[in-house]
Amino acid sequence: MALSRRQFVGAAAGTAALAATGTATAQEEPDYGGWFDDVSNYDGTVDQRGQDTVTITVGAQGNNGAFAFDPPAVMVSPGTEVVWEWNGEGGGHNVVSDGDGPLDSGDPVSEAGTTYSHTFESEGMFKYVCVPHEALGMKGAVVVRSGGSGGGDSDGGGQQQGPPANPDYGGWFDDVSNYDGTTVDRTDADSVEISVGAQGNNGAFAFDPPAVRVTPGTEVTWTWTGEGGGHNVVSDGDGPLDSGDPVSEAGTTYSYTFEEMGVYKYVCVPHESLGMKGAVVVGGPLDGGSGGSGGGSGQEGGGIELSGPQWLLSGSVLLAFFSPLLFAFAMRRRQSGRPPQTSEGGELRRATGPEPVEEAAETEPAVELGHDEYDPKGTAALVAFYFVLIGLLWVFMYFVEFLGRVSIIG
Amino acid sequence: MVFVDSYPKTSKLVRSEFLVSFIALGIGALFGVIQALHRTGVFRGFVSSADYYTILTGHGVLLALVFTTFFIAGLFAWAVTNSLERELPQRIAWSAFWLMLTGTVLAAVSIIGGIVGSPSILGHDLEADVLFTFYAPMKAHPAFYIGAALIIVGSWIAGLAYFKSLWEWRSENPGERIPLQTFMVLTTMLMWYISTIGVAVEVVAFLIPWSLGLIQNVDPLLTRTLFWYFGHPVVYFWLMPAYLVWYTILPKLAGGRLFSDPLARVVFVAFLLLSTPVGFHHQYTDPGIPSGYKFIAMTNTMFLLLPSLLTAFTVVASVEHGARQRGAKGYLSWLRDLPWDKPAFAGCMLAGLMFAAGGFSGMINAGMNINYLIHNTIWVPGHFHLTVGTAFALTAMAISYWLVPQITGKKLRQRGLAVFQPYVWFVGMAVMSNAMHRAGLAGIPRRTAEPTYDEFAFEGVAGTVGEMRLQIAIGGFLLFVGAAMFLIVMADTLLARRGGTLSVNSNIPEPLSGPDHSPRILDNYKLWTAIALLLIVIAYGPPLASMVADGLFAPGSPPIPV
Amino acid sequence: MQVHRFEKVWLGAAILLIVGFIATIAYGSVGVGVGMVGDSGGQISAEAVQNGNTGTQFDDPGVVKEDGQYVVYVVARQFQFSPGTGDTPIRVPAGENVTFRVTSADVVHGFSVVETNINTMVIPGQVSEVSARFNEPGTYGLICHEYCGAAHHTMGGSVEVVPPEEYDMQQENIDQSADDAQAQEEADQ
Repeated sequence: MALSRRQFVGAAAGTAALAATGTATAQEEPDYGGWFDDVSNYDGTVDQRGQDTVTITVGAQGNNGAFAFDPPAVMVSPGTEVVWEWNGEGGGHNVVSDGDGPLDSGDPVSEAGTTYSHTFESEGMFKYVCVPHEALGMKGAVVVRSGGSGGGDSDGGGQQQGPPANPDYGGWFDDVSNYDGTTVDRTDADSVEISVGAQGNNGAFAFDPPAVRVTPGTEVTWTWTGEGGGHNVVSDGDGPLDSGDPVSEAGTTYSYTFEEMGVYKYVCVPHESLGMKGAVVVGGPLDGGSGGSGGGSGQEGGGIELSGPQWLLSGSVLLAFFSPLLFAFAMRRRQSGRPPQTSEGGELRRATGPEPVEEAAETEPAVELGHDEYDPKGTAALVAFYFVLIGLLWVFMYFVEFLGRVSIIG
Repeated sequence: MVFVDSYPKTSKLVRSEFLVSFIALGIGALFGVIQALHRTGVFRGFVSSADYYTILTGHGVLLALVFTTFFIAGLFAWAVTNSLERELPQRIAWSAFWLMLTGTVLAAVSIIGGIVGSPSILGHDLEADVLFTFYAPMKAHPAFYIGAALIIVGSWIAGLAYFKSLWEWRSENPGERIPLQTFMVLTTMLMWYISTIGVAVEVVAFLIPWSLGLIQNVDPLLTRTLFWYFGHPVVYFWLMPAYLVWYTILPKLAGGRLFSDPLARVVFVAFLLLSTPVGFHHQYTDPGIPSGYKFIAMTNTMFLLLPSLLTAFTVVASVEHGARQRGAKGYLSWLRDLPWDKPAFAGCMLAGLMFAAGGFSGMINAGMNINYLIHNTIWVPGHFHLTVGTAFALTAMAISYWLVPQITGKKLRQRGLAVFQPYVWFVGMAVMSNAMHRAGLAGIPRRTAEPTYDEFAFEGVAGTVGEMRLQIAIGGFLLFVGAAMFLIVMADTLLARRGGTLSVNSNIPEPLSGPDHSPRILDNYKLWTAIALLLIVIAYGPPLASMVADGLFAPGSPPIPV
Repeated sequence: MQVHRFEKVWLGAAILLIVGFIATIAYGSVGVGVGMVGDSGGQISAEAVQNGNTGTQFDDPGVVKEDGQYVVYVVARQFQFSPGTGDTPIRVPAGENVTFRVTSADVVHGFSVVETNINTMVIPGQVSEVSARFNEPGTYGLICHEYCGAAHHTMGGSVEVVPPEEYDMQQENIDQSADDAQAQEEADQ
């Protein structure tokens, strides 16, 4: 099965090289009918055809938390085994087909390392959700389509041209603050250095550069800056990178020589949730490609974004801010021309200076009560009532509400 | 002569402080109604649930920190000037204002960053979804912490202006008792100086360098403890100005005289002594703090009830005196013979009434083990909306009706709205707060955008959960209307023309029992400050020592941006 | 200083009320035995909790039996309890003393069992240790009630209290020390 697929891919590589891209854009992005409208980490379909197994992370960062599949939309060849792998974040997740469909991983689980796989034989579009987090946007789709293009990290050797000019990272860099949207091109170098513990993600929690492209056979060396605590370099999902337990010492190095083409995503495990992630793109760039939307947009699209309808929130704030003034101005108009009243008519106006103003007259008490003539009987009655009320409420709250429940002992 | 003509410079200062305060009130109130509609599920269209927390941070900071501090600065400036009969030292007072305003803008901008996509400014994301309590290891943009620090430092300088005024007055009036209003202002400021040490250390020594990346870890328990060292006395920073109004102005509004000046001084000294060594009652359920210290905090807190209970008696007695002077008879019918149609009076009375209820829920909060019942549930916001949200806020609004004409020289406009506004606020608060208390008993949490969970359902204790949610939404909406009414009155008055005869009179009659009846030792600030510091050393010394014994930054946590 | 006699009476009443409150609380503490969360849980490295290499049971949270006592190790993180959230409720037997040890892998969380007084903060670097005894079987809700980030409102769970006869340690996949396993088998016969 695998062999015939490889052969097929190899044969198609020639034609594919001309027109294919890393994503399915050149072959028409599948029409999901709005399925991904509320999925924050959806960034086009990742074309993973030509691979035996494709891994999808369950609990990736997205949708205001770890409530995403990564990649959410993937295209595979018939006969591919898709493996969903839980990263342990975001609570309990599952993988269940939308409507009728073959996917059902069972009850939600949260444990990292859990896997669920399904081999897709027939072509089609298979939408699925994580049931408890569907409302947040935790949805995905597998499009099974024959045909092929580059961009896999499996065997295939020199027949494939490599990942496209703008690889589609599928939202990988959404929470990486030092990713500026570009993949640094170091294809001219024999060895490439990436610093570990560069400034980013609110601290020294970044790889610099986070996305870099090299030619196959290049040795990439990660060098620790000594900042940001303990770091490591570990592949995301299956992958060859593993520098071991986190270390913090400046000058530590870890190297790996990349032979196979592909996109190798990796993280620093303890700081992954802060955004300490990177990717090494081996091979390419393929010409004639317009990747997805520039491969995993950075933190913000560069403009000001508002969640919720923009006009509603900003409109209310502005309205609230100005409404008292607007109202007052409206009142002013009605009353303009009417001079302020003075207590006696016809007072001399000053030639210069502010309008004169005076206070109301002091009111004399009807009955004068001195210190020795006054006993606050009413107050005494009120505070006595308050005393009794508080006492009763306290007893009720303490002995009925509080002690009536399971309590902490010792 | 009207205050604005006697003291034009200080009047300008008070107007500026009030302007900032009222703007913060408006935006904070809008955020409040957005929250009320969102978390009850009535309308979630304004923001996403994730951005709810930005709104919540804005609501807390703008109302509990900006609205309050600026209003109090204005009120105190008036009170000191009025009672010492001299203008404040202007340079000091104005630098305080500008410093606080700069801090406010910094903090506000970093908070608002959270709903406009958190652009990266100077290497950090501009957001501060850390709420009013900004617990580490959650981290906001450094500008947030710097802004908070500037507001605090500005308030210190404002206090300096009041003290300088007193010293100048004293050199001209040797041997005289400090006038009551100034005494209250200075006692409050002394308490404030002592209590802000905690949050100043937390922010300046730990959070600012940590958010800038200059230090790697902070100890979350230590920073939390330093915050709550400040976090309880800050409520007295809000309450004591309200007491100043109730003790010195409310009796006159009722047509009476203050029942006892000496007792008022005793109450304020008690607050100076006891406000700070009670902070652990906000940390009853914290690990890492031995329960012995929690017990001490509990007994201190319970005794802190005493000055408030005494205030209840003195203030009500003073108001009753006013009713009696109007000719009222009977045990309770005198309540009718009071000027309930005067907005300043009605507002203060309703605020005081609500405070009595808030006091009770506070007693439950303070009760160490019974705190388990309601800790971090929505009962807690139910409590503090009664206290800071009404006892302080409604008193502030009410006294503005009386004070703003005097500092502007303009008659109060929109009187119809003003008369009704305190009642709207009272009803809205009664509906919202009582629902919050009941919902808290059902276990519904506070600070939560959508308090429904997949794994279980809440059960109402008295009434269903749905009913409680609806009441919170309705009450919150009414409060928003009440705030809007107040702001309309203020805006219309501020834009009006000067002149004419005001409907308010500033004369404050002598108390029934005057300052000459109170022991001189009450005015001995040095003594009371020393005792206050001693009590703090006893309550906080050993626990803080054990927290820093294993290292100032250990057990440490790196910043986690939100 | 002159104090009106009414006010003196009120002062006395107020002090009485305060003393009454303190006495009730002391009774709850000493008499009924309600304990306050203290520092008995000790400290721990939050980073190690996040990485799962503390060298304690927190690396594999759940219910264990230590010295004949049921102990529930819970790790709170953004945004779930392990165990507790979703399909992994905390399961404990009714009628037995159960000790919860809860810590955080990242920020400050809360741990509150709804409709009980089991309510504690979870602070990174510290371990919250609280014991309780559920007399009746049933399911209780579990919530994080301290704001911990953007999805704080999703952080919930449940505690299932199971009748002791139905509570089988083996079935619960709970670790046991070798001695306990022996004793359990003998007791079961």
